Amino acid sequence: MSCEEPTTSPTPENNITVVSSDGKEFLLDLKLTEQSETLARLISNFEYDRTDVKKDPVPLGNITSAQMQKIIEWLQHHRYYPKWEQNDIHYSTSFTFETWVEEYLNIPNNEMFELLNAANYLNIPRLFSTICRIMASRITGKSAEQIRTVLNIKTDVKNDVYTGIPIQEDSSSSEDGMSEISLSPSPPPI
Amino acid sequence: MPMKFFNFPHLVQENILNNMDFSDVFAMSLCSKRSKSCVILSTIKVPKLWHIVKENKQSVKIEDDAGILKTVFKLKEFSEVEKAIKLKFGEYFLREIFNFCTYPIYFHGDNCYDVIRESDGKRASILSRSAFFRMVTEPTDPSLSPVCTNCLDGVIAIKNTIAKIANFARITIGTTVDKVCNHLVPEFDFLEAICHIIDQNVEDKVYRFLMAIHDKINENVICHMLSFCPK
Repeated sequence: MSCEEPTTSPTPENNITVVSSDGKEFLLDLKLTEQSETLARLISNFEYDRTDVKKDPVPLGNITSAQMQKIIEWLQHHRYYPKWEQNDIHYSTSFTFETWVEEYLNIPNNEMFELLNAANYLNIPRLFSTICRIMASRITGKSAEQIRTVLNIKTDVKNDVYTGIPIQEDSSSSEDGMSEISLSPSPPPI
Repeated sequence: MPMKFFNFPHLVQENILNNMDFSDVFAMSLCSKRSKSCVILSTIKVPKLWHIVKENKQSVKIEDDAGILKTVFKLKEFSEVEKAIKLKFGEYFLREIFNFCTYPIYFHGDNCYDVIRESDGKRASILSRSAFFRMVTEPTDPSLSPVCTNCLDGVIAIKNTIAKIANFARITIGTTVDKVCNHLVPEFDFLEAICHIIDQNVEDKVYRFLMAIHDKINENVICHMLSFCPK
């Protein structure tokens, strides 16, 4: 599935400029933007694929330069991959990923959060689905209590059924961050 | 920047849930009310649900389109003496052992699920919490039966009702009988206790029975009202 491609430097005719939220400009090959439905639709609407059209920089106000670099790295790696098709993944219990993907997504939770939001914004289905699967793999085989720890969910049940002791309410609006507990994707032994 | 599941857009939450196994989605729904509603809103398709009951084990499984059964959870009784069971969550996750209570437990809450068998109307309640999992079946409790038309059933229904009141009010059955028969309202809020039980567990006929006691209607009227006697 993996395809190693010769690196081609983008030329003004076949690239567009995107501007991150912190003002940094990135040159993107039009071939790469095909993986992003948001960018592909924008290019199609403004006819940026034509050489006689002036290409204004595309502002991406929701994406920082660090996220953009990460996304470009993903797009470059999957440049020659076939078009993404959503498979029926409901019944898959094994979460196996390419080595490159595991290394690519071996990042802290906060960066993963930003990357997932960026992938959602740019509508890159392969990246979006992969991160979702990575996140799902992190809570596979966990009990409700462990899932609460991983995803920082606090129970909002008022009282314990038997004891009647009040249980701490859900503080979803609090400033507590997600736990950085690294739970292994592999399930615990029986 | 902190990362929290509920900070994601709903589409992202839904996609993550769709990537999870059914047992994990089920466990996710037990985390909180909000996570439960999130699971419901994600509209995960369940092709076919199986509730398999064997001699010493019960399991809930989901059959996919290919006919493969995926275990959501399994309860297995492994010690008849201690009444202990094991809970298997998903395909590979085994919860800790705990004592299985055989006496009636009346519970309520968001993590309580009442199920009714269509064939004979028998009921059971399932309670799942983070620390334990319990299933209570009440096959011999006529007060929960949809039909209660003879004297024997009526006697058992009244007996069970008295037991429930005694259990709720934390007094002995003998004291409860005395209080009910004498139509007394003692130091605790007896009517509140009755209403609490009515809301949770008591069928309509027993409810009317209790109201009849409250209104000091004599036993003949009660018997007629509850259809305990053939005439």
